[in-house]
Amino acid sequence: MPAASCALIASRKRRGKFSRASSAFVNVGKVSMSLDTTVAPPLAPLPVGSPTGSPVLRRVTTYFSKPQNGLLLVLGIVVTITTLAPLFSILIDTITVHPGSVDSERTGLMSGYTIFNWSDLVDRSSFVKERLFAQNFWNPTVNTVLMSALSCLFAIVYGGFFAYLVTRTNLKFKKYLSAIFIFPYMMPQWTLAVVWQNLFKSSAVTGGSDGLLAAVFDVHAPAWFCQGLFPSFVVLGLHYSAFSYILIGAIFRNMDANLEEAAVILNTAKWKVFSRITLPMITPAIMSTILLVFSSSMGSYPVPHYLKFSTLTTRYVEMSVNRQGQASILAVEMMVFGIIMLVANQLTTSGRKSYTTVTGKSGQTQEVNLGAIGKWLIASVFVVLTLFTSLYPMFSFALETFLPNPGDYSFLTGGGFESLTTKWWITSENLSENGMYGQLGVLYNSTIWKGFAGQFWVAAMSALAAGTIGTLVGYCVAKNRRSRWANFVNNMAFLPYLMPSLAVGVAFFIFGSSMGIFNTFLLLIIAGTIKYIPFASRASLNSMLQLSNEIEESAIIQDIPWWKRMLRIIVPIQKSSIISGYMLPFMTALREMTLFMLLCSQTKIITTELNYFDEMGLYAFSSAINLMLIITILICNAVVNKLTDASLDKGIGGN
Amino acid sequence: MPQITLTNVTKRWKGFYGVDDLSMVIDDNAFVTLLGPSGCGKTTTLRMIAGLETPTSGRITIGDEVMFDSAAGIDVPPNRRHVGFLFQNYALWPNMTVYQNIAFGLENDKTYTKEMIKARVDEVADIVKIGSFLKRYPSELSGGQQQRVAIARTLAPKPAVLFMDEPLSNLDAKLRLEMRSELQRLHIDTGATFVYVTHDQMEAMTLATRICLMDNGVLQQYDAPLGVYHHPVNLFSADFVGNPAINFCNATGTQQGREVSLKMLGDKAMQFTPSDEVQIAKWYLTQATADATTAETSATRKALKGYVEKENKESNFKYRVARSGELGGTPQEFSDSENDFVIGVRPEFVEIRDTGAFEAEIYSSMPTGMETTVKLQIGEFLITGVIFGPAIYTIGQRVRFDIDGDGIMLFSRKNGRLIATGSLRAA
Repeated sequence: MPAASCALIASRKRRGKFSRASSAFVNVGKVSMSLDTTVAPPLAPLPVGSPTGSPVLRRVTTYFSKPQNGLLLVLGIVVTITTLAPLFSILIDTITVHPGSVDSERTGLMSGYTIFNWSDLVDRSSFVKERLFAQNFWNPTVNTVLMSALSCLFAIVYGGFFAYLVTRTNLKFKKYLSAIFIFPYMMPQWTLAVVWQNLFKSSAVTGGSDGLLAAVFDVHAPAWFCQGLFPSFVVLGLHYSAFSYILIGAIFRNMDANLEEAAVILNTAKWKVFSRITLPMITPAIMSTILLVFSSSMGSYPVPHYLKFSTLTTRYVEMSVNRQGQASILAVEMMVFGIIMLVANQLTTSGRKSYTTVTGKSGQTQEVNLGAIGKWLIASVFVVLTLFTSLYPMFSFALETFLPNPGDYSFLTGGGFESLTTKWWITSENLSENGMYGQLGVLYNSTIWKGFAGQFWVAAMSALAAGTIGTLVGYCVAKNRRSRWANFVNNMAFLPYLMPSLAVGVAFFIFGSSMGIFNTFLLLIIAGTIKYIPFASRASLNSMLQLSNEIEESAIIQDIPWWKRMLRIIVPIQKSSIISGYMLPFMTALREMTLFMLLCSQTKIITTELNYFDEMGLYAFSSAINLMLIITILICNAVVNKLTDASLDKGIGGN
Repeated sequence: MPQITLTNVTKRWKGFYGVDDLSMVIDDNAFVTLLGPSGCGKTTTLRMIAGLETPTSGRITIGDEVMFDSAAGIDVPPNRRHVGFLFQNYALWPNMTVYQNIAFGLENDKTYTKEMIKARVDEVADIVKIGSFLKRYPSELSGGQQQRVAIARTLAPKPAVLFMDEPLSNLDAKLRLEMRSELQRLHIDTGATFVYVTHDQMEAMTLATRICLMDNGVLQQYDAPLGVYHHPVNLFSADFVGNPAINFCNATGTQQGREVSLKMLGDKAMQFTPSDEVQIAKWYLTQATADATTAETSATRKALKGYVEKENKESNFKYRVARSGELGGTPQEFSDSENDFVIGVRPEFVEIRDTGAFEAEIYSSMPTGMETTVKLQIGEFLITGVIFGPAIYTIGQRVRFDIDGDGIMLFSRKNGRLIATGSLRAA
């Protein structure tokens, strides 16, 4: 019933204003009309047949006679609860006593509430405490901020430079490079981290088995290069550079060349044109890249996990075993970062400067000439670089699945192809042998196929829900542009976008556990839906705002019912953005690990199964799964591209 | 049948009053144009009548049905007001063919069978001559054709009231003229009430039975086109209507008997004879009483709780006096003295003849064949005149001219309002 009472209160407030104003009519009458020739007619009594009942009731009915209003109310309540409830449950978890964990042991409580977790985490009273403080709180925080900031920098410089080359110079192979540059973003985030490891690790430096370089060429990369901060931010930066390329590239491409030409005509130095005109124009794109990359990097678990770097996410997972309450504080910390990002986003997008970049008459500036050699040379460098971030990972994963043991590259060093094995794929019996820990080969392994099916099911259901809700939110908000409530709903729906994945995962873990739906598909689907609504609501809002209101008004005036207006007019026109509102969540959920890993047992879906097989030491299995995931995503992407013009690389630009 | 009545309709966004306390009656079968500079509230007014925008307060009736009443909480949604609306950018549905666009609204009306729909679509398509395009999509039509489709779509359900929001402003000049006369014919043929928004005063003059002239959300004058032209209530109305624009000259003087002795255009002594007897001193008294009442009611209105201060305050219209070497003329302030006047001279009242009372130099001359628009420089002032017939003047040529006719306007420079019309002659 909150819906009805809410509206009632709202309408009562408005009624107050109206009735006061209306009493004024009688007095004011026609006086302001002293100049014109008409005489205002006296208020006629209400004619027979007009609606009866109290004005309040009538006003409520009028308000809800517009479907977007009722819909907005319902969506607002749903989105608010599903977004805020998990956030609050984390906060409460930080002061809850967890039996069997540190807080219970030290306080002697078995249930109830305590602030022990907060005070203990920041306690620096003794040498041991000081160490714990650094290990559990300070170092992960500093590391996380460092890693996220450097990832942003890397992504913007690398992606922005590439965007400039592709849009503004006469670089060769533009089309190929542009397509291949997006690859890292389509692949699961940890792909490059695993590849990095497989390439550079060595038992002499990092322990464990040898990587390709160490085994074959006896090249031992230094430790800082193999794991820790450096590879973490490079991998994340590479992953998100595709994102900054798309955003910055779109502005470069659409920017009215007249803007720069006008400065050139005024004899402005080149660096000045760039710093005073070009750079300010791409600032919004840079800002949105920073916001997204920062919060995504911060919430990433697999990358620092594989590259053995202590961040808030990896520390959370380690601490959640016996310091659950303190781990939740780390999640709160990530949330706070997320909220800071949201505020920053609000501040940067609500400025007075409007960066409309729709092209004017001049189609394109003259391309910068890189020189006869330069255009080939730079292109070749990028061809090689992108090879390592696109095709090589697949090759590497494939190779790993044929090695008899991890790091056993003997087929290259002299063993020949006989040293390779297909046992990881096709073993269907003899479980006790072959060092397979009782698992059947990938092709016969029902755990893996069930995991795949589970992942598909979660992705499809989340996409269906997120796409529908997001599209409707976009529609309702676009229809109620000036309303504060609409803005609130929009922000609520957008909040999860900048929330670190792991923090959202933690929130739903605590929320789901208390609701008794831990380890169910339902919980995974709810989490996925909430996290991915922003994809759909952004895409939908942006395109709905482009659509003139008059298109729908001209149907309203002809008394065409709402559902018919939606099905026959709005949906057909907005087809591609609506489809991308469904496809983006689907494609993202298909390769999502961080969000889901706390919400279910490891064998429920395929991405969490990676951890399962890694822990078992079955690296060939994880490689096979990675390979299959990448191929699945590529196929899906190709199908979507073929069927519609909505693709991942187009959609993620949706601000 | 459908008479439209607006009573004290106000629309504001926070402190900005888009439409301020508007009351007017649109008669059945009228062709009313809402005219005014951009941002004056004319489109908002139209959208409020159609129900696409909700007024902040006031009351709107169409026929004998109350469509909106803030006090009674009535707000009939646009779909149940049975009106037609023609949008400025046509708002054709790009995903439907011309036939589907026109038929869509009818399909929704259960009283129409499939055959009847087809017959009706063909009928309206014939009216606007688009019968051969029915299978095309909007994007495959030219601007003029899209416009016709939009009209056909609006006409199809036979609305008794038709609203149009600058329907011709997206067309080229020639097509606009053509469509103008077709709209006029359509008005007669359909017998519907037309309410038409435009910022083009020529369109308003030629089409309307009545013009509703607005500025800054406030109704300035509601009158027949020629009434507005010949008897503008104030300097704004006089200036906005008429092309080329009216000439304004500052004048000072006093009334002696019926006549007003004036000094104008430097210090030329002139005599203004009002067509209808008017006592200026008495006129000012009446004005003062009316102003006091207005001030009183607006004070009551402001004293009410919930009243929001109007940010876009009404300021005195800054009329311009044309001077040589100054583009667009010099904006003039109102004066305090009751002896200060503004004389308004429509360009067609300027006659060039050898016996003319004034001597001037031709500043510019623009012949179109049918008439010639000349700017005459007299001292530092410029007077625009329209000379009918194929007259040729050379720039710099010295000519003599008269200000003829009894349509010369005498405005008060104190409040900008029209005191009288009459004739002007040299003293």
